[in-house]
Amino acid sequence: MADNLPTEFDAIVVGTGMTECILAAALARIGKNVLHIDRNDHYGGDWASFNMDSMRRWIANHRGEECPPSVMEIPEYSSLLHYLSINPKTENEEAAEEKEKPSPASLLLEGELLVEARMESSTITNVVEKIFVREKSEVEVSKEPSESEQQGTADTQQSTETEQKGVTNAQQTTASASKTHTNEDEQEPSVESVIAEALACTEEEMKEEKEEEDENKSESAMDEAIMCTPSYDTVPTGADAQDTHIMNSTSETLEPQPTADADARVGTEEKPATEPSSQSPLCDAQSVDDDSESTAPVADADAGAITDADTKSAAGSITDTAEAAAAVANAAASSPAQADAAAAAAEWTMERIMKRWRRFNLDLEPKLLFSRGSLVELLVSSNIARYAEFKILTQVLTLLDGRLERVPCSRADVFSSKKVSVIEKRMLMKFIQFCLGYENTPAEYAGFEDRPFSEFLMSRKLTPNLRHFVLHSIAMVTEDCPTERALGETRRFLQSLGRFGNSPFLWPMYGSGELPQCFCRLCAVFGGIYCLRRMPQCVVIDAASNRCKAIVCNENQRISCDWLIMEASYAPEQYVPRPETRRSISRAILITDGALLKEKQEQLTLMSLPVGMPGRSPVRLLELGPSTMACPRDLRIVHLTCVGGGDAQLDLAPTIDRLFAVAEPPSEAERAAPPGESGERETIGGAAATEAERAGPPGGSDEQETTGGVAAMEAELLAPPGGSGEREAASGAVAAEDRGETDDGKPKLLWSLFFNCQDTTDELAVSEDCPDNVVVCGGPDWTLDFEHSVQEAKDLFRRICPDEEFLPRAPDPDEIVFGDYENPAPTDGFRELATDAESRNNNGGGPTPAADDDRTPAPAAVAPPVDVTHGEMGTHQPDNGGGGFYEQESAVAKDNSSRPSTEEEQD
Amino acid sequence: MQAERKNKANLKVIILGEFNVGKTSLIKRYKEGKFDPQEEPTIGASFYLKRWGPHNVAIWDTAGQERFMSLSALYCRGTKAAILAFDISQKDTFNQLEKRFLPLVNSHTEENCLIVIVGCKVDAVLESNRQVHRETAIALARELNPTWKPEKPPPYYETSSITGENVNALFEFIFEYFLPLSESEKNQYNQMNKRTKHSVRDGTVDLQSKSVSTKRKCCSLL
Repeated sequence: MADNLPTEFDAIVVGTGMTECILAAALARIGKNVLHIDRNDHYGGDWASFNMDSMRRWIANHRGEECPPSVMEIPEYSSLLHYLSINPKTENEEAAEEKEKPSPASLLLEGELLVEARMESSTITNVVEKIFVREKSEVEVSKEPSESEQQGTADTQQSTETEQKGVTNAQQTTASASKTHTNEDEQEPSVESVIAEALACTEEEMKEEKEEEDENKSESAMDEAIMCTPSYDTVPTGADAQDTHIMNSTSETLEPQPTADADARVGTEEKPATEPSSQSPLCDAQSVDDDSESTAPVADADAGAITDADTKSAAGSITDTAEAAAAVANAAASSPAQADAAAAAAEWTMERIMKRWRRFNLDLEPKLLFSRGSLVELLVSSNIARYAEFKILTQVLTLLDGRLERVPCSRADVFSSKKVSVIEKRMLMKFIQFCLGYENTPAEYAGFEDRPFSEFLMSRKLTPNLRHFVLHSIAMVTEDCPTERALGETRRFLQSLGRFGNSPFLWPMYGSGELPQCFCRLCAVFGGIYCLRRMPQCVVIDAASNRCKAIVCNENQRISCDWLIMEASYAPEQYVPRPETRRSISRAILITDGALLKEKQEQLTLMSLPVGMPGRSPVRLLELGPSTMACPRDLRIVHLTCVGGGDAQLDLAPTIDRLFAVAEPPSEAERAAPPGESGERETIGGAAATEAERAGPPGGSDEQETTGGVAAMEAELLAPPGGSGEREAASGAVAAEDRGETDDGKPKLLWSLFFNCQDTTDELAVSEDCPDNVVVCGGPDWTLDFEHSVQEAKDLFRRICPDEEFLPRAPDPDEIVFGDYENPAPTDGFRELATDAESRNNNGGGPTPAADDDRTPAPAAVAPPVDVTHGEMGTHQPDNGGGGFYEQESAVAKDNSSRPSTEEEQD
Repeated sequence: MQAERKNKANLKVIILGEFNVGKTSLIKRYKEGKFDPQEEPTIGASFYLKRWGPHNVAIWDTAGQERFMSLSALYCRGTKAAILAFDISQKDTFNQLEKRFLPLVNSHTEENCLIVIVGCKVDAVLESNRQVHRETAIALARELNPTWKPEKPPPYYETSSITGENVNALFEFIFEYFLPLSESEKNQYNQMNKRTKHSVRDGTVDLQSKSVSTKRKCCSLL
């Protein structure tokens, strides 16, 4: 189990960031004996990507908080996992190992010194998580949950409930009630009949509940209500909050009735309220919804306004009775007019998000690949591309005069763009042609080399629109960027167009955090040994020669090496002094409820947003959808990155406010509280306003309704005279107005995470004391792509093995011949195979027969598939690259929007 | 959308289990039809492509990353079927499945991934000295596949890479589960399999490989 690592290696690579992984792979590939370790329990270090569960633990870890237990350890998720622990080592085992450890000094030989390495990384700072949704809604009714999911919830309750036996029944009945209604949804019956049925159902529910109440007395009925809320979080807290809430609300609304009775009574009152509402066609769903609110013991307008926000899931209900009523609302929402709205508006709660934890892949440092960038070339030439799959970025957006516009990238885009006039089209094409070969015509930009690019663009008489496109979206530089550099950037963008499709960028499925792992896998395949949660505690130096001889790792094992390669955050302070100031990357990760630019097809979007401050780099935005495995259905992940002033939140919040509907985040306590608590107001209020705007013309007469719309109207309908409902809705409306713009159409921000990551590539200086055989490399840098890492890895490799080939092509699976070779020495065998394959490849044939089929040219109108492995390497070399694309594109039909988002290859 | 493309695998199968339970031998036995007593840990083989009728199946091997509990998420991505292998003669390798490997499967594979429990080295034990009982393993197999119909035989196999027992049955069970073949496709597949066993690769004959046709008899379970 606690295997000790082998003790001798050619190279020890510390850190599993991109540069280290490339280097590790390159070393193993040429037959070096490599140990690759990382202090974390995940691959990638600061380059990692996480699912929601790991992400929240990462957050806690970096905030110095106690790590929340993994979802897998929480009973809810574990009908099959109940006995699992995510940490492979138990504490006992670790404790046992602890005892046996010798001290590092005792492992020294004569003439050796110890130099302490950095155990803790300090690259990540200012970690702030913000949650804009409630912890949970009382009933999670959406079209989506599969039966198994509902079943799962029921199970959970069973497992969570230890004291309350009978309650589970009630809960299950409720679940089945709502299920029934979901079925009705499909049949789309008339509104009346639905409501009638639903009502009948409610009555049944109520009866059952009453029976239960008889048995359990009022107190336990209250508990029951509590237990009915599905919970993945600590039950007690939620329960407490609700507890008080029930008390409060009851005493507020219905005079001094004991709780349980109150429930029942209000429940009965519901009927008359429902019937009239079914007659007002405009807002069936909402009004029924209202009723469900009024049924709730609350009968309190707070809850009303809140539930309206999510028209369908009728979260306001607290007791079973109300839940059933909520089902009514849901069923009513199935009237054709409302069905869509209901589907779209399922309330996102933290619980709902966490339930889908594994469908998230959130990158700490999301990076794109230029289709003709060095990483793609390396992935292809080394045959590592087969470990990953890629999507092509589908659109580049820009914010032009406050509106989101698509940037025309290809010739086809240019010609079909409505934003670009005929004259501009010609102008732009000419400019693009110039950029592709700008070095050949230095006269064209003579005198501008070091002057700002914006001035050069002016001199080319480009219109403001075109200048904007070129500067911000193609070159993605600041206005004061020197022309020569900007031209280089422009060309890089243009050259990568068309290799795999109509945009220059590729995005790895599951996130860019996969790529370091691809290289690790190759390293492992070639004998590299992997060990996470392991790091050097000290470096052992031979005093006389000042060479590194070994490391002592945190298990106090001495492991010797010829070369030690360390990521900067591990390197001893005396070798890599920390600069006074270092560039800091400001990052935000957002979960939103929809795309920035709503389109039929899911888009993968890049946007560069100038921040309007001189000297500041633009904010880079990347929007990912479910097809990239970044998130579950109906959500989007947005990554924001910029080089900032050191505080991610300050740097990025303005951009977020511009693009997304941001509510005030409720405080911890408020979030956990049920609807109606004050904290929810703003969040939900804002949401209500948005929702209202979408829902169409307000039918009411009150002034407040103009912005608050349906929400306000509903609040009015349901609120007891003088109730607080109007206030609530109004506050929502005001919140929207305050921002000086409507949030209509903007995606709603559900969750966000801010942090800063030190750009250790900045001023990465190695002191003279550093032994020659200790190699230090940087972490993630601020740029868009992986160029820096690839270059760094290549340079370092050359330093370590000057005469060896850097990542020669690894054999395809089919080329691996096992065998009865007398001398199985794998490396030699592979090298032959690789060489063989290469020569075949160079002759124009694919490496495997199967690969040939991939080379059939794609039909002209369709972008070629993102087949990185067998991409047009060798045939379309960069010299004619982008230009060729532009020429060949002339035949392309205008309809680019329908181009399939192709994915790459293979295994 | 791209599923029909030739060398995009239609199915990815991974194998997980403690170091040295015989994962690579199992795959090699299936792929090569012979046991390779090479004692080196897995090196050089990242995955194998297997033709299954018109489909391609990729069978991934761990590349030894499991040895120090450091399998990467990448390994499990997009996996629809995971083989959890243990050594019947070592109880601990069985216990580790749930503790160490199941969390990986559960957080990184496709949802509802089929989990097949495989007891390796069945040739090495007698009923009297086996450490993991059939029933225990079957219970786990059923538990890990909650939607598995009780009337169906459980996704549990006891294999021997030395004799070939159940090896083909195991893989063919997995493939058939996801990519059922028509009768004619199956025949083709069997034909092709026979050819592979004669080491016909890329149209050439590998003179170095020994004839293995005689070994075929012991694994004709289908």
